[in-house]
Amino acid sequence: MNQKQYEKAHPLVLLLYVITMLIVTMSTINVIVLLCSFFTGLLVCICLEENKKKLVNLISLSIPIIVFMIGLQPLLYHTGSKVLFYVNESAVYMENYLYGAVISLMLVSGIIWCVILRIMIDSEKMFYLFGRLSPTLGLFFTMILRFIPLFKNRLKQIHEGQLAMGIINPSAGLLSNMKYRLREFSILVSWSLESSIETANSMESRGYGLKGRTSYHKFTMNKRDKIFISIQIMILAFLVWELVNKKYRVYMLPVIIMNKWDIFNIAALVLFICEALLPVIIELVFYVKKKSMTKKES
Amino acid sequence: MSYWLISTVVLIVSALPLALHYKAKKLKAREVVLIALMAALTVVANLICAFTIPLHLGTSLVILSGIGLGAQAGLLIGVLARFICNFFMGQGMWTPWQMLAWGLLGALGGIAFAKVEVIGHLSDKKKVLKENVNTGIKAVLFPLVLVVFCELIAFISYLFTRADNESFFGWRLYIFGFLGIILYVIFSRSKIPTNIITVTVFTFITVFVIYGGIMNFASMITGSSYMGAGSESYISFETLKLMYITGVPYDFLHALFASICSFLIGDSVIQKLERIKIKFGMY
Amino acid sequence: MGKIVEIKDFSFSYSGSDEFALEDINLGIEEGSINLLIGKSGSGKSTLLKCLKTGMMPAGRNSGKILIGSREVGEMSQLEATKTVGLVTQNPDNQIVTDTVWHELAFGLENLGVSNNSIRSRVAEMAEYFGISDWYNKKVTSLSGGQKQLLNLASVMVTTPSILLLDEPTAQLDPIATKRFLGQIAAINADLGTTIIMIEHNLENIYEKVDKIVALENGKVLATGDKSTMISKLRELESNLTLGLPKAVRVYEKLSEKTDRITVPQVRKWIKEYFVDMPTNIRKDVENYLRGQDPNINSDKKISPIITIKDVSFYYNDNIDNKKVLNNLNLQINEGEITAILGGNGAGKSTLLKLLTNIEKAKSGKIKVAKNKRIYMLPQNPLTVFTQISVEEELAEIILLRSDLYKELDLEKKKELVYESLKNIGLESCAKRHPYDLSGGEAQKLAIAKIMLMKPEILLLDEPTKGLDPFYRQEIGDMLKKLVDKEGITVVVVTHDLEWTARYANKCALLFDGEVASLNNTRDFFAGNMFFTTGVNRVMSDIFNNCIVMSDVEKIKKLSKDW
Repeated sequence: MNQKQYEKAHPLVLLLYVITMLIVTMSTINVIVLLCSFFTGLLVCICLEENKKKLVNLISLSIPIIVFMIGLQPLLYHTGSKVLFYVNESAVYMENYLYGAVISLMLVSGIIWCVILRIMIDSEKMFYLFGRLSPTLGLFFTMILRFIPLFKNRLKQIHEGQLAMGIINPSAGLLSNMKYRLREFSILVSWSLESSIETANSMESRGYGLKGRTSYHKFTMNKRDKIFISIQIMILAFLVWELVNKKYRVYMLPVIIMNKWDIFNIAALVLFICEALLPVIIELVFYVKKKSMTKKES
Repeated sequence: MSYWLISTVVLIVSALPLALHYKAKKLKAREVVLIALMAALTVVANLICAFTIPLHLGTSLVILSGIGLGAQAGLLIGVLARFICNFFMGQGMWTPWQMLAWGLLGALGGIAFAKVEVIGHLSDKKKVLKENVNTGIKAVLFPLVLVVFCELIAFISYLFTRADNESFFGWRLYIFGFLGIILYVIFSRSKIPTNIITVTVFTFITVFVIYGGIMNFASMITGSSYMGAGSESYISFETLKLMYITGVPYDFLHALFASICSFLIGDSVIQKLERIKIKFGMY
Repeated sequence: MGKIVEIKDFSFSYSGSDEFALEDINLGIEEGSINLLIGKSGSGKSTLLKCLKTGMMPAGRNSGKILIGSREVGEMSQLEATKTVGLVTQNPDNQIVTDTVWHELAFGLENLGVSNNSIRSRVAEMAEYFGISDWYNKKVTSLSGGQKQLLNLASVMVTTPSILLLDEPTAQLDPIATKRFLGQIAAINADLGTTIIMIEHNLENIYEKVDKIVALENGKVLATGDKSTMISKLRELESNLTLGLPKAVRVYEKLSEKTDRITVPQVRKWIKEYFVDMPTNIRKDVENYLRGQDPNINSDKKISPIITIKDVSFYYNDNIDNKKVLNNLNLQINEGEITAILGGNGAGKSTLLKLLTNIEKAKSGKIKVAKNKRIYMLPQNPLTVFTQISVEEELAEIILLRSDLYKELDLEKKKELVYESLKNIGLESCAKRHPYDLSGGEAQKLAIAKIMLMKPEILLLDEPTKGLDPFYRQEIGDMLKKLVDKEGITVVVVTHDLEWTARYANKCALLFDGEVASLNNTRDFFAGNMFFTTGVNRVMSDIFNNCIVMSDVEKIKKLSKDW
């Protein structure tokens, strides 16, 4: 696996990026904006995700959502202008289906950006971001994340131990199975509580509780990150301004009305697309550079 | 506009004082370890329950740790555990609501119960259990009567004010249940004695009323973002009623399974926490 | 060199107890030295170590003084204590606080309020020095026990304490990790001049570097001395603490009654010279005599196989390349014997036990266990089997649980049974104690007693001597031997402990790469091995191949007197 370029960026840059995308995607039902969001999101996703199988899963997950949302709309709303057909003497309008399609587009784009969020901000970065909020919370996160795999491992040991000692019967029914599991869990509780004394001692003996604790992190914010952040904030502010002023407002029910587009709308959309594609662009630039480097060498 | 966005922001803002509070207050190493440990145990419990046994051990454990370690710790354990849990089970718009609900359960456990009496190994277990059952039933009787009484009022009000085809098992259960809890708090200022019966009943009522109450409300808010999309009609009392009606079976099972867990391991977990507190010298 | 630690007339008793845990301790520790505390469990070693660290002193009363540098321990601030005294304890898992290696290393410095950039450089330096830069970015869960303990050491050393306290740091490690860890300790001492005070049972790898040994007994200092004089001092006091000293030292002392040689090469060379005049035929006689002592070889006891493992292969399903953990393994275990299964990490020992107890199913091949035999396994960690709040209830639990085995007994009889088995393991005085308050050895004994109440006919043990001191190892061994002799059960032990195996096992099987590489009677097994053998055999093998345990050395001494 080769390192992607985005991994070099500061977590805050990544967070800002995904949040911008999510805010825009989730707060408008303008088809053009949503289509832009959808396709750019898909492109970024393909570019970043190493595991192509997950992409296939994502797509196969989206299809039922789309079908469901489109099919559901006529049941919820009975307004529109163009009648398609009648069911039990109530009309089914074309606008309903269009509306469903737009909503599902929004949902799927939202899911795609959430997937990108998960790829870009792994748990370490996530907890770094929260840890900045409050160092104590950051410490809690890292400790809990340390304990969870430890406890899972201990639970496995306990389970195997109980099986091997013949205390529990693996082929017992559901009810006694539940009882065994709770019994195992109870052992885990006492074991873990007991070991916590040593953990607390280890913390104290390494100076936990002294005044002025700092919280170390591996991420440094360099000049590039700062530039990115300021650019992103400007774009975000512009987009939010556009959204708040309802420039992209669309009425779909009962009739479709779209606001007239002006130059600001177009500018904002271009900026949005540019920012959305930033990871892909950077990746491409880097790729071209690398190619030319290897050419020079040879 | 999108309600979920607003509600999320509201919840994050409401969680901020908590973060700041814990920044200001210095926790001792042993407190930090115990909170992190119980939160991790809760997460593990929730995970094993999701995959192997149909119980709600996690919810029960949040309440138990609230009882054992106090309201503040309980709140923190609930909030942290749910947040991290959802990294394994799926993060979403419901996360802040679940955090809030679990946090409240933990805090309530800490507030409601009196200091635990340690059962020594010398005591006769059967006798202790019998005593527990006796005092437990006595202690539980009053709040139980209150809650049942409130539900009765709910039923009466249902008889008079019901709409067509409306089921009784809806929002009234939650509202009047909550009323019952409030009444109990007002009438009896003293804390509930901690034993197996009170803990079980407490688990059932609070999980149903508080967790269910919050999550049904949350599901309307989160649902609004894609069901109504802009048209404000989705957020209404009608939808809320619908949510509460559809929520009853799930909430009932949730509360039931959580209280079964409380019944089966509640005593031992609380006793273990007491023992470790003594060992830590936390008294 | 000045004294860095001075203990003057120090006494300590735990709260709620009238007895002294430590009594009138007077001790001085030189700066930059390696010091060893030896003693049986309950002698106060750990208590003494804890009292040296501010904030770690257990609840209780104390009198006298402990000075570190010129400051009294009780008066040191936490900041001073963190900067001067570091502590590494037994269990690698329990000491780790954070989820990643880099964060764990930084934890101590974070507490001291060091800035981000200084932490970065200090942590990098430490990772480089301890050779952990390869796994610097890993999660701690993915580390092995040895790596974890090394990480613990590094994350304590990151604040550069001048005194390092070690409480049985290698007890949970396998032999190779132990060697690596103790090597690191010696390197820290040599490179940084850190004063080291340690409690340790695996002395073979560090003994020659030790400057001072302190023997404790019942809370009092029994003797202090350096590495060569210690054994004779203990001998004079008729203390059996010599049991814990390295084999080379003991063999040399036994045969020569001198103490000036301590390392394996020194003693080996001396033995070669000492026995050089011994005629070959006498040497052969001695060897034959040693072999003849073994009841296994010449006994006419009928040997019948109780477990037959034939062509068994196994791999874990989640393994990506389907690497076989067990590969066409063949093994036969005889009734009424103690069979030891030896081998390095990942040789498949634990997996074999899982197959025998049906936790996992063999992918191919057959495991045949004699009909209707109850086969139970005791897990490695005794803490995984305790569920009750007192020792007696632990035992009673089994009797209640396995009502099929104890049908006709009334309540009184059951109680008697509990007390009888408590008496058998010598834990009557602890009947009311919480099982988690027992020491490691006592807990292991209780676990064995617990499983014995299930009346196993085949008992499988996974590293029963792990983390125990030599005395408990001996006790566990004697206990098992007695069970085998008296009740005729069959015991299979998976272990890293060669000394223990040589003393107690009847048969040894060496697992390597998923196969049984060699299977033999214990004496033949060790006599035939060059590297994978006991400490005694290591120094004696030039002359007497069959000499594998201390009692053999004694016999040789007796015989060589005649000669």
